[in-house]
This record gives sequence, C-alpha cells and structure tokens, in this order.
Amino acid sequence: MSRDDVIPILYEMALTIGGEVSLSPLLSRTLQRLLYFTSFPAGFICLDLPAPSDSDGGFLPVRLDAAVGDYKLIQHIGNVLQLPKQLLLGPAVRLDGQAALLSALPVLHNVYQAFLRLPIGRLGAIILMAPRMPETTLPLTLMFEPIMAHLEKAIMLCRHHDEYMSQLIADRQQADTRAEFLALHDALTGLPNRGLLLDRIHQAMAMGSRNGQYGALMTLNVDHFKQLNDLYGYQACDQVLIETARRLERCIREGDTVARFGGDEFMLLLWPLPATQKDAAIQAEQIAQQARQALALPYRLNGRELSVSCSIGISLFRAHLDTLETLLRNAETSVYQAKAAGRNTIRFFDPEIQTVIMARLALEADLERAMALNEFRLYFQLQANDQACVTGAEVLIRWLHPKRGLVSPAVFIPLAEETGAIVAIGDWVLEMACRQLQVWQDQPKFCHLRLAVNVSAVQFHRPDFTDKVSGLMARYSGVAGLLKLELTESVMLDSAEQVIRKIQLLKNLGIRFSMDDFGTGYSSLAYLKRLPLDQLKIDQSFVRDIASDPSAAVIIQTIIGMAQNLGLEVIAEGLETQEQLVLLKQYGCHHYQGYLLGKPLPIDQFEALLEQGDLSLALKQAPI
Amino acid sequence: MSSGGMVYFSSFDMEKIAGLLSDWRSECPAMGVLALVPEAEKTQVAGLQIHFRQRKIPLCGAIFPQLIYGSEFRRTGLCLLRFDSMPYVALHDDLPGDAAEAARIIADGVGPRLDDDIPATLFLLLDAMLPNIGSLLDELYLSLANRVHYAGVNAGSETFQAMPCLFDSQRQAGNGVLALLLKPHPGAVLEHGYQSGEHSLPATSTEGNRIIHIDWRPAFEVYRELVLRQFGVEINRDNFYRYAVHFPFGIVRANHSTLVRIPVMLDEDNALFCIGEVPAHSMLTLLEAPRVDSSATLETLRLGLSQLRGKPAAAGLLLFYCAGRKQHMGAEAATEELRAFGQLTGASGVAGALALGEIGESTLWGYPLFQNATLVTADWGSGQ
Repeated sequence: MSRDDVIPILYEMALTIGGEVSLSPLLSRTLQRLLYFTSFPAGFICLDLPAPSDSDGGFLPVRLDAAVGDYKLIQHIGNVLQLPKQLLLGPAVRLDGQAALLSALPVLHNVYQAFLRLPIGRLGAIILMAPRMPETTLPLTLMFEPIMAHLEKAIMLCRHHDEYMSQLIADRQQADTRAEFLALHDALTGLPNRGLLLDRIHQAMAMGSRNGQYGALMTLNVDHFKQLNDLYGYQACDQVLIETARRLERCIREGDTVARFGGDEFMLLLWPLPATQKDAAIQAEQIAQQARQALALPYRLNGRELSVSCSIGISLFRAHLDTLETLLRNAETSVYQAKAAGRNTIRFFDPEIQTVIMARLALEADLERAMALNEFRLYFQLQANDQACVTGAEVLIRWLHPKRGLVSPAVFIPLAEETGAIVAIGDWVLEMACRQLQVWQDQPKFCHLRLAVNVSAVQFHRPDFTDKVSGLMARYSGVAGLLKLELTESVMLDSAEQVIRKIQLLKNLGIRFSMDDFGTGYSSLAYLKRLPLDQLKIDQSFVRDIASDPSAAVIIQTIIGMAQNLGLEVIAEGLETQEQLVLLKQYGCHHYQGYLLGKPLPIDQFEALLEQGDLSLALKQAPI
Repeated sequence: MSSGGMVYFSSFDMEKIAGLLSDWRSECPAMGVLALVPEAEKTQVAGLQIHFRQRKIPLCGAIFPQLIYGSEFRRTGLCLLRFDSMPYVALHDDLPGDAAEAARIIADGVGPRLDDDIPATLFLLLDAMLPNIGSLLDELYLSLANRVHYAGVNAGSETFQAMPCLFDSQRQAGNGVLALLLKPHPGAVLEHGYQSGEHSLPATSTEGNRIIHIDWRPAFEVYRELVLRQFGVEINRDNFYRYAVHFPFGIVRANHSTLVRIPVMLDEDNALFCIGEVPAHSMLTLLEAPRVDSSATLETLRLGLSQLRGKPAAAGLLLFYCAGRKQHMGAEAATEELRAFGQLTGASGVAGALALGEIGESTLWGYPLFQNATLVTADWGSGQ
C-alpha cells in the first residue's frame, strides 16, 4: 500500500464531504467521488438501517437515500425498498461473483456482479456496484474508514442544518404570509384595510356593471371616540375597536366586507344588493340597523361596562356611475350628516333615499305600535256559490292609522313580513276569525258561514304554527269545520314534505285549506297533486281579464279542469262584472268572491248586508 | 480512399464529394454524415455546409488539429463518415456556465430519445476551450446515469486559439458541445498507458482547467521545480509548450487509471492551463511521461473493443488520438502506434482525428472520465 496513492484520494474525499452543508448533495457528491475514484459505475446509500430480526426473511425495509450511476435505481430515491440484509449489513467488504445477491435490486441493466460495502458508522451503508470488479491494489475496505467516520458526522451536521433551514424557510414563509396579510389588513383588528377595501369596491363596481345590482358603502364612526380615548385610555379603546370589528363582522352577510380605515372609522362594503334603488336602500338600512344595535350592546372593559353608539353614513353605488373618490366622499359626507343629526343614527347620502328610508322607518315604527293601539280592523268580503247562497267570507285586515288614515295592506303586509310583525298580526286575525265564527254559532242565520283567513308563509313556517292553531281550535270548539286557511304558493318554496305534514295535521282537526292567488306563482301540478287542499282560488288578475284576454280565459279553464281532476273546489276572486260571472259559470267555476257580490265590510255592515238579502239579486240576474 | 461508410478525401473536391453523397444516398436514403476536418482546412467548412444544405443531407462535424485515416495522420483533406440513418444530433453553442444547468439542457434533449432496451452511446464533440468538461460529465452522469455509454473528444486548434470548431449543416460554433446519440451502439474504450509518479502534491487552488496554486505556491513555480528535480529538465516560459507535453500531471484514482492533464498554457500569474478540468483540491502527481506503455495501451483497447462488441469481428473503427500524446511520443512513434492499432484490432478501416482531450470509460459500464493523452476508439461499422 502506497501512502501517496491513498492520501490524495482521502484528501479529496474529505474535502468533498466537508464542502457540503445539506444532506442530499452530501450523499450524492460523496457517492459520485467514490465512483470516480474507484471505477465502480454505480452505487447507493441507505441511512437509518433497521435492526435485523429472525422474521425479516433476509430482507430489510430501507429508504433509498441516494443513488448514482443507475438510472432505474435513481428513480427509487426516497422510496422504501426491500433489500437483502446480507448486502447492507456487516463490516466493509469487497466481493465479486455476487450476481444473485445484487439481482434483488431494482436496477436498469441486471449486470452487477461485484460490490464494495462501506458502512457509515452505525448510520447506514454505502454500496458501490460493478458488472466486473474494478482492479485495484489499494485496500479499499480499510482506507475509506476515516472517510466514513467523517461522513457519519457530516450527515448528522447536514441533517441539523437541513432541519434548521426547513424551520428557517417555514418561519420566513410564515413571516411573508404575515407581511402579506398586514399589507392588506389593519394590524389592530385584522380587518381588511383601505387598500383591500378599495380593491373590493372596484370588483363590486365591475360586477355591478354586468348585472345591474346596487352596492352600498357604509361609513361607521364610533360616537365621541376621542372623549372615550381621553377617559379610558388608548389601550382600553383599542379593545373597543377590536370588539367593534368582531361585532360588525357578525352583522354582515357572506361576501360583504368590513374594513377599518384607521381611528374609529370603519367601512362596510355591502354587495350585492337588489337591482332597484329603493330595495337596495332598504336592505342596506337593515344591515346598518343591525350594526347599530350590535354596537349598542354594552362593552366590558376591565370589569366595567361601557356603552357606545355609532353614526352611520350610507352611499349607494352601481357599476362605475360614480368614481371611487366620489363614492368615498359621499359615504363620509353622509356620516357627518348622521353625526350632525345627533349621532347614534343612520343617514343616506342621497336625500331622496333618505326620505324614502325615513318614511319607511316611521311606518315601521307605527306598525310596531299598531297592535297595541288597537288600530287594526277586520273586514269581511262575502263568498257565494252559483246557487246564490252565501257560503262565507274572506277575512281581510285593514290598518286604520289615526294620521295616515286607512293604510293599504299592499303597503303594510310586506313590511310586516320583513320585520316579522306579520306573525303577531296573523295570530290576531286568526283568533278574531275564530271568535267571530263562535259568535255566529248562536245565530241560525250565520251559523253555516265559513271564514277564510290568509296565512302568510312567514307565519305558516313558524315551528309553533300548528300548535297555535290547535290551541285556538281547543279554545273555540266547533269552529274548525268552518275555518278555511288560505295559503299562497310561496309556502311551497320551503320543504314540501313539511308543508304537507302541517296541512294534514290541521286538516285532521277539520280545518279546510285553500290555495290563494293560484296561477300567479309556482303552480306546480306535481306539488298540487300532493297537497291535501280543498280549494283553489283563481287569482283576480285572471278573472279581471277573462272577457278581454283569451289567454286569461284559457288559464282559468285550465285551472278549473285541473281542480276538477284533483277533486278540488274552485273559487274565483275579484269578480266585478256580470260578463265575468257568466264566463266563470260557463267554464265550470261555482264559487265567487268580488265587488259584484259585495265589497269588504266591517262585521256589522257585513251582517247587515246578509240580512238585507241584496246579494241574491246579483247572482240570480246572471244567466246560468 | 474508402472503407465502407468511412471515406477520406485528400482535398475538398466538391465534385467527388457530390458523387460519393449521391452513391451513399441511393444506398441509404435516410443517411447523414459526420465530417472530420483538419485545422488547416477550416475555411472549407462553410462551403461544405452549403453543399450539404443544397442536397438536404444532414451534416455534423468538427475541426481537429489533424485527421487520422488508416495508419496515418493527415493535415489536409476531409473524412466523411456515413450514418445509415441520421441519429439525434444537437449543437449546443449557448450552454450556461453552470455545469449542472448545461448538463440538464443536453440530457433534456437526449432523455426522451432513449429506449432502455437498446444500448446507446452519447458521443460528445466538445470545444477544447470549455473549462468545465469534467463537471459537465459528472452532471450528465447524475442525470442520465447508465442509460447511455459515454464517449467523446475535444475539437479545436492545436495552438489553443479560440475557433468555431463544431458545426452542423446550418451553423458553425465554438465554446459549445455537439451531442450525438448513437444507437444501437455499445460504447467506446480509452486508454493512455502513462505511468504515474511517486510524489503527489495538492492543487490547492484551481479554477476550471486552470491550476493556480500547487502546494500553496504559484503552480508554474512548483511545476518547474518538480520537472527539474525529477527529470533534470529546466522549463521556462519560452520552452514551456515544447516540454510540458512530456511532463503532464496525473490525477490519482484508486484503480491506478490515472487521469492525465497536459499543461498547455501559462498565464502571467504563473498559473497553468490544462486541457480538461482539474477538480478543486485534486492531488496531482507528475507523470513520467516518457514511460508510455504503448503495447499495453493497444492491448487494453483491443480487449475493450471485443468486450463491447461481445465478439472479435473487425469493423470500421473510430479512433481519436490525443494531440499531446503524439507530441510527447513523436510523430514516428505515434504513427507506429497507429499502424499497430490497425493490425491488432484487425479493423477494416480506421478514421478519426488528433484530439485535444478524450472522454470514455476505461471498463464496460464504467464511470465516464475526461482524459488527456489517450486513444479513444469505438466501432463505427455500417450500422450507425
């Protein structure tokens, strides 16, 4: 053995190993230099060899950490392979004639017969392979011992370095993510900042230009925030701002944005809103009200309760009709108007919208009080059949406002449905109808009359609706068979199964059901077949046009035919002329309601009408 | 002069060349040609390209200091070697300096064209001025591994002046690589037979093919002392190239197949330029170049060839002979070595060139190495 032959190789190997700081290049460069020096054409490294056992069948599951020189083997880097333990384990060895042992490897050309095994301490092994044992007079199994010891340490150092670098990269990514977040968000509250909000407004404007929907930009300032700061200090007020952010987030819809512009100035982007200005304003105002109410709840600061209010300005926008700057300016102007109006209030930038909203708010407030002030009245519009017999009446609600006069149901019913007041109103109407039916039970002239009561979809879908009606039936015994509930097709927009179950439950008590406004809405024959109804009510719009519009006549005939097939009674509402009556009779409709027979009347006038018997004249005059 | 698919023209007689191409194409319609051009005829390359373009025959080639045909070195003329079917050829004249990136570009072209059931040889013709050929080979081996055999030579000027020495039918380029994928092809063998010296010193500072310091001292200073001490020859700047070919460095390997690096230039900082990269921290030994075992060299080549083929049948052989080796051995001895090579291998024809560095495997499926002072040979046959 010549020292001059060995030292240069060890020297370069040591420098190669020492020059790497990461595991993967360390292993592949070490392998490469070993191949270079020894003339073995291929080799691989497995680290973390498992301890052999008697049951391993002579093979060890090992991860291939590096491979050089064999293309197929290289494809397995990182995979766990089953390799002969006779190949991997044991001291350094250089063996020829080992084709059988080496044939267990997944290699490209199964040509390997010779191998050199170099253990890397207890960490793993290097296997160099060749089709023919490369010549050498050097003691390869001995001379690489110091290099392998050096490599073992280098592997451990590289692993530490890789872990450190991975952590460093993860930390940096986290920092980058955080920086990215902070670039677009407010550091204190985590809400989107001005930049992000402006970007989203642009997007909303772009989308709005396609579908015509409105959006709203709402500026919200905490009232007297400077005084709060002075009084409670910045830290406490920061907590107020954070809590305000969370409360506002709970008020908005999915897709809306709450942003903080700084200080106590919050911006809410509401998009999409309806495509009509009035509806958009109403929806924006409702969200603003929710925000105002959410912020009105007491804040807890260091064990003390703190009350705050806010001023909200709203500016509606659609597409790019306004510039972004104008929109922001309008929103800010409106919040100053809100502050000027005494704070804790909401103002729209557009005075016309503000007027509409104010009117609506006033109506809403009046409506809330109407029940308590006994402002609702019930009117009765008679229903009769083609035998000139009055069969009953539809109960209609009217709101008699001391200042507004008689408010149209078309105005206050939708509002009541939006605010939820419809439930109390509906309950009241239902109870009044039951009470009237019970009153009539003692009057032979009226005891056969049925009353039809409209039930709103909101009321019907309340979970306690059937319980309430059952309770009424228990209180007003004997009226169930005379009560008819009129539903609209909109009830079918919810679970049909549930609707059917509820109707069936109440029908079991004797209550009848009519489908109101039939033909204007869903009108699904499939659902109609499944609903346990008693009556279809042809909408007045078709009745109005029956003589003038052939399609209306066809629709009525179709509805009547459909009802006959399903065994349902048909009633036409909005009957106003003899001509309409003649046609309805001709088409097979036998029940009617409308001004031709009688307009809605208070109960005393209704009873008087029936007693006069004028009704029979109109009916009898119509040719059958 | 002709031997199957290898033909030597003593001059660029385009009429004769046209006749040959016409004959070849009638035999092999999908043919292509590898042209070996001596440095003295480098101006003829453009005309040759036009000639091939006009006939729409694929062409690739390189310029070498001299040609080899039969048992003679030739300074003029032209060797045309026919591919019966033109293989994949890529002339990379814009390779990045980073060896890994350059290897990836070459491998990306070659990889998809490999069928692992058919033996293939990646034959590289490189500009000798490339400073990182060893690293390029290392990286190619990491990428393509044993999907191909590796062989090749350096082209260029014997005076080491930059020159566009690689070409195809469209372009002529320097500082690049012409990659040929020959398949089926069993590879090439190379051998130098130089004996290594006893004393080694570390190349303490290198940069590509430039040895800056040996043993922490300016490289030329140490080199001069070594030569003087070991061989009694005084080398100075004036006689450097004349003597340096006789005293090359060896990079020691464990199986004694020392890699030869011939110093070919000196710079003002007393750094030595070699043909071929000297890896950083290499341990260098000064080779006793005069002791070239020529017969052992030739026997190794013969054995290697028969192992590659799996049969001893003689065919046309490609032979590249290191220019430094010829200079060291002398023209007469080198020519004699050529003659002995032809006899020993029984080749039906031998064609090639004087090369400025060689690539090959010293054993079957061996690690690809960049060498100096060697003979590298491969079957040409008629099937290429």
